[in-house]
Amino acid sequence: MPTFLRRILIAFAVIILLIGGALAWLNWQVHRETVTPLTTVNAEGAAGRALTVLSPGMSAFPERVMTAFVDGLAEKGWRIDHTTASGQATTAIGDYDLIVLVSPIYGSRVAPPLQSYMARVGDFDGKRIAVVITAGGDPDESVANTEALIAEHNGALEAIFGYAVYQPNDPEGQYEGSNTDRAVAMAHDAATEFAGKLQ
Amino acid sequence: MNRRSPPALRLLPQGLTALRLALAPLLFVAIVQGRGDAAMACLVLAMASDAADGPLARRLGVASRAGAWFDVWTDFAVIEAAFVGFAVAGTGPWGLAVLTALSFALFAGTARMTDAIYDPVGRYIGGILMVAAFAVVALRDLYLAEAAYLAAYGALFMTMAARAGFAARLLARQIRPTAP
Repeated sequence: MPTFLRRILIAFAVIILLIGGALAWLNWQVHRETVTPLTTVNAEGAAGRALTVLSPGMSAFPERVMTAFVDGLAEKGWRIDHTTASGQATTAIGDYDLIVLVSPIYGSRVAPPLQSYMARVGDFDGKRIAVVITAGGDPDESVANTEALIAEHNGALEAIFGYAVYQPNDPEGQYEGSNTDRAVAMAHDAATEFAGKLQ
Repeated sequence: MNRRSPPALRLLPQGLTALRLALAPLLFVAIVQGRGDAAMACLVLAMASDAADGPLARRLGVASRAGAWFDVWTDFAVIEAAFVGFAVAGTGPWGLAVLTALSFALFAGTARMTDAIYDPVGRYIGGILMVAAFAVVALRDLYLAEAAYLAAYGALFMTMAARAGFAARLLARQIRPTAP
């Protein structure tokens, strides 16, 4: 085989190997579960008891949105237990009045660790569920899939709150800061309003 | 066309590069404000200007080393604006912004070693990184965005390795003792 052709083939093989390795790493990252202990916010809250389950994804944005949402619920007197979607997250949901599922959207679906968590719970037995999603573009594009997922697990979907990264969250200009800062502030206000409706 | 071209026409390549430089802060603001369509428009204009300014300068007979440096640093400004924008928005890694700065620092530090500013790998890096940034704001999928970041990391590591190897070979040639 001529040297030139051999070099081309080696370069091609190296590129294919690198791309394959990168995709495998990315796939592992997307499916990777984050284990955190169950922590409680506003332990004295008497308005209701909520469990939030977060699939953090690969950026800090979903966690920031979730923290703001939890703060909003706590301000309205809710007690919130928080954990991340993993094999060690509690599936004993009977004592909760509300389940809040938080996840980034990958390919119009919630992250695989949250899907796995829901599969582990199996039947939500008509429990009230709110979903908070973060998406690259229009979050509405993933609403149908999310609704189907909740229905599949027998949950009573109360609301879906969606926030985007590359599409303005606040076209009316009611909030300040970057687009993601606005999303965080909006998630907080959405939670307080939502908690008010639940009471 | 050549040096007899009208003076205004001869300024066109530099004007295109300057337009690209002016797009850098707009791109940053568009990304941070989540205005994906505006960010896409900035990147399309930047890529078109990047593709056109060099060939146009050569066609008009006004290509120069200063112009090439202006082109390089303008590319850097646009790419850095995009990656810093992603990081400030909290959706992209700061590592890419840092690595881009390091890569261009290495490039600037070694480009004086030879007559040609560009090397075979480095001449395409600006375009690859702009396409990666464009993919992030155009596709608007968090999974594909991570894939684009990964591709940008790969391109930066590759160009840095190539540049470091190139510089090492040049240094070795300079310090090698010559036969009497």
